[in-house]
Amino acid sequence: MLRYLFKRSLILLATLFVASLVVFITIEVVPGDPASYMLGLNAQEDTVAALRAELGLDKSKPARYISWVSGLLTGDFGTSYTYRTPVADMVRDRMWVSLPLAIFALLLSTIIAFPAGVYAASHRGGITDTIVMAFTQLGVAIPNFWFAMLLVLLFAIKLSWFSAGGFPGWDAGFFQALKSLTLPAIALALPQASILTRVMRSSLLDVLNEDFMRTARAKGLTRRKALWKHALRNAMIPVLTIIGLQFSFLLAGAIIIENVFYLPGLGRLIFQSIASRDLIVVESVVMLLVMAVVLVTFAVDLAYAWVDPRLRGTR
Amino acid sequence: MSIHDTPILHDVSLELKPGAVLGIIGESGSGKSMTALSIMQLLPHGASLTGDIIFDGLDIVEATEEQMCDIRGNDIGMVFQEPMTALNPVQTIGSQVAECIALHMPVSHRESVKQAAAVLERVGLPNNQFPLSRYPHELSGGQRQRVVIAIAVALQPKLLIADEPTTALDVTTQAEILTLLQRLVKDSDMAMMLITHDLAVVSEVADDIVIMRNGRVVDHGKTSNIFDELAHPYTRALFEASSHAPERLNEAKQIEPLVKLTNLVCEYPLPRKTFFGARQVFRAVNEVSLTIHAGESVGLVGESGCGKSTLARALLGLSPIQGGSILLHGERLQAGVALSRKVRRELQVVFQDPYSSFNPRHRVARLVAEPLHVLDNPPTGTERANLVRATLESVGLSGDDADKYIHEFSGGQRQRIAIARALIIRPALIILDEAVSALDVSVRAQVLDLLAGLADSHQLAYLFISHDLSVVRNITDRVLVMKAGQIVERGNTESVFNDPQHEYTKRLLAAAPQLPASASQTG
Repeated sequence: MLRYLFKRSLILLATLFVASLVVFITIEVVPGDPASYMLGLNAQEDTVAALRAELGLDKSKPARYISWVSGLLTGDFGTSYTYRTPVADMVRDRMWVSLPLAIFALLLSTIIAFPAGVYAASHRGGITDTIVMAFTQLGVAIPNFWFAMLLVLLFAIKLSWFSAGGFPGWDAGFFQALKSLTLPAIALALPQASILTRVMRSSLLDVLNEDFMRTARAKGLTRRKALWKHALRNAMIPVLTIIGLQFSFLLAGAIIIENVFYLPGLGRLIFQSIASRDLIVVESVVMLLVMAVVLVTFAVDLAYAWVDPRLRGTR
Repeated sequence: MSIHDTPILHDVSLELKPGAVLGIIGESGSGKSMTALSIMQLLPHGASLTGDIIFDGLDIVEATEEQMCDIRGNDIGMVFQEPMTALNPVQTIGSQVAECIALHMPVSHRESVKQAAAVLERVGLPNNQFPLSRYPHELSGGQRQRVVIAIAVALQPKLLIADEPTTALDVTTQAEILTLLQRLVKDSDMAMMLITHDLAVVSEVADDIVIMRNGRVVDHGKTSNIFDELAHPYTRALFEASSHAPERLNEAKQIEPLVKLTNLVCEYPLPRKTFFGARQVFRAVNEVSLTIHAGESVGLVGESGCGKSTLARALLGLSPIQGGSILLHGERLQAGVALSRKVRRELQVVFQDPYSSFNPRHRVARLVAEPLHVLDNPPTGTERANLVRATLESVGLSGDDADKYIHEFSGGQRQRIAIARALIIRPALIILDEAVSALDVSVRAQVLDLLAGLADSHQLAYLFISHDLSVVRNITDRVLVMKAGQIVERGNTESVFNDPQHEYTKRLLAAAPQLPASASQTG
C-alpha cells in the first residue's frame, strides 16, 4: 500500500512539473512578445518596454520560469495587468464560488445516479429500467445552458423561489449563498447524473453476470443482499473514474452556466482574462486548474486502491 | 425443464444417498449443469420446471424463494468450475467464508470468523500460512478452489454439488482437490453430486454414475457395473473416445532437424521490490534444448506456470529470448527482429480457446486465408477461393462453409477452422498449445484423428503442448516433461510413460486419473 502511495505521489509531482513547463512555454516562449500582445496593436513603444520590465521579460527564460514557479509555490501569482490587483486574491474569491458549485453539482449528480443506476440494473429490462434509460438519454442530449434557462424561467421568474442569477457572497449567510448556487448546480448536474447513471447501470450489469455472484447466491444470499454486499463495490471502479473526470470538468468547465447565472466563478475569470489579454491571470489560473485536476486524479487513484485490493500490490 | 419454451432437460430422474458420490457425466450441452442448477433453483431467467425434486422431504420445485435462501449454503453447498472467478475479488477469504456462516446461524461476527478459520483449516488452508485476511488474488487456482469448497461445506450441508470442480486445475492439484472432496464426504456423511466430462475422474471417485446426453439420462448404475459392462452404446462410445489413440504411420525420419533450440532462456522482469533496487527477473524458460525433426510429433507436458507457453511464444518469435538460440532449417530466429517471410511460413500455431481466437466479424474464407500474406506470391481471386475450399475440405468441413461467420460453428468445428488456418500455407511445424483441452471427448477424438492424418499426408511436425497426459501419450512420438522452466525428463513417449525416471514425472503420472483397466481393454 505504501509503495502504491509513493508511486502515485511521484507521478503526481512529475505531472505537475511537466504541466508547468508546458503552460510556461506555450504562453511565454512562443513567438511574439507577450507584452506587445497584451497591449494590443496601437501600443506606444515605451509602454511596451515598461510592461516588459514589469513582467520581467528582459530576464533569461529559465530565470523567468524559476521565478514564476517559486512565486506559485509561495502563493505569489503576480499582479493582474487589467485589474491591477494580486491574482492570488482574485483566484481566492472566485474559488469560493466555483469549488462549492462543483461539489454541490457532483453531490447532486451522485445522489441521483446511484439509486437510479442500481435500480435500473437490478430490474433490467423492466418498465422502470426503460424509463430511467430514456431520461438519461434526454439528460445527455439537452444542452445544459438551455436547461438552465428553463430552470430560470420556471423557478425564478414564474415561481420566484430562487433569484435568476448573481451571487450574494458567503457573508450574506450560508443558506442564502447556497440558495443562489442551487439552480446552477442542478443545471450542471443533469447531464453528469445521466452519464453517471448509465455507467453505474452497465458496470453493475457486468458484475451481476460474474461467477462470484452465482457463488454468493449459492451461499443463500437473496438477490438484493448479493447485490449490495458483493456487486456494488466491484462495480465502483468505472464509476469512480467518471466521477473524477466530472469533478475536473465541473471546476473549470462551468463557464457557460456561470455566465447564464452571472456567477463570479473561475470559468468567467478565465474567459474575461482571455478577452482582455491578461496573460498573467490566464497563466496562473490555468496552472491552478491543472493542479486541481491532478489532485483529483490522485484522489481517484487512492479511491481505486481502497475499493480494489488487487491494486494495493502484494504483501 | 425448459428455458423460454425451449426444452432443455427431459425426464431426468436421479437419486442421491447420504455418504455416497453420484457422478454425472456428459458432453457440453448435455444438461448436466442445468440439472445441478435446478436443484439449487438458480436457473437462468425464463426457465420453468416440471416434476419433483425431493430434498430431505421438501419439494424444491414448489419451495418459495425464501425457503430456498435458507437451504442454499446451509443444506446444499455448491462448488463451481472456475475457481479464478468464483470468489469476490474485493473481499478477504475469511469474510467470504464467515458470511455464509453468519447468514444461516445466529452467531456473533467474532464467532463466525472463528468458525470460518476452522473450516478453512479443514479444507487444507492452515491459518498460519493462509490468514483470513488474504484476498483471492493472493492465492493459486487450487487454493481458491479450496476456499470455494470451504464456503460450500462451512455448515456441513447434506448435499454438495460440485460442477466440474477440477476441470480448470492441473493434474496434481486435481488429485488433491478430489481427495479433499472424498474426505469431506466421508467425514460428514454428506451426499455429493460430481459433475464432470472426464470419465477417468468419475471412475476414481464416484459410487454411482449417471450418463447424460441431450438433456436425457441415457445410462445409470453402479460405477463398477457401468465400466465393466459398457451396456449402453453411448457409454461405450464415450469410453472409446476418451482413450482414443489415433492411428499413426510412425515413420519420423530423423534426418535433418527442423527446429533446434539450444540452451534457450526466457526471462520476465518482476515488479521492483524496493523502489531504487535492481529489477528482479523471473526465468520462465531455463536453458532448454530441444530438437524437432520433420514429420515428428513432440509432446511438452508440465503444470501451469512451468514455462510451456513461454517456450511456444519464443519459438514463434513472439517473446524475447535472453539466451541460447533457435534454429529453423538452420536459420537463426531472433526475437525483436522481424522474422523473415521464409521463416514465418514454416511455423503456425493453434491455440486453446476456439471461441476467442477468431475475429467474429470476418467470414471464414477471410479467416482461413489470413496467413497467405507471408507467401511471396499469394494466390488471388478464384485460385485463392479454391485453396480455401480445398483446405476446409482437408479438415473435414465443407467448402461452402467459407461464406459463413464463425459463430455458426460449434467448438469442434471452430478448432478445425483454426487448424485449416494453420495448414493453408503448408507449414513444416504446427504448435498446438492446449489445442484440444477445451473440446468434448468425442470431438477431441475426431480432431486427434484429423491431426494424425494430416501429419502423414502433409509431412507435418507438431509440438503438442498440453497438461493432459493421456492425449499426449496417444499422439506423440517423443515427450518432454517440463518443470519450473527446465526439461526434467525426455524420451520416447512410451518409455517415459511406462518407466518414468524423474520424481516429478512419476508424480504427474500418479496424479493423473486412470480409466479402470477392464474398460481400457475393451475400449
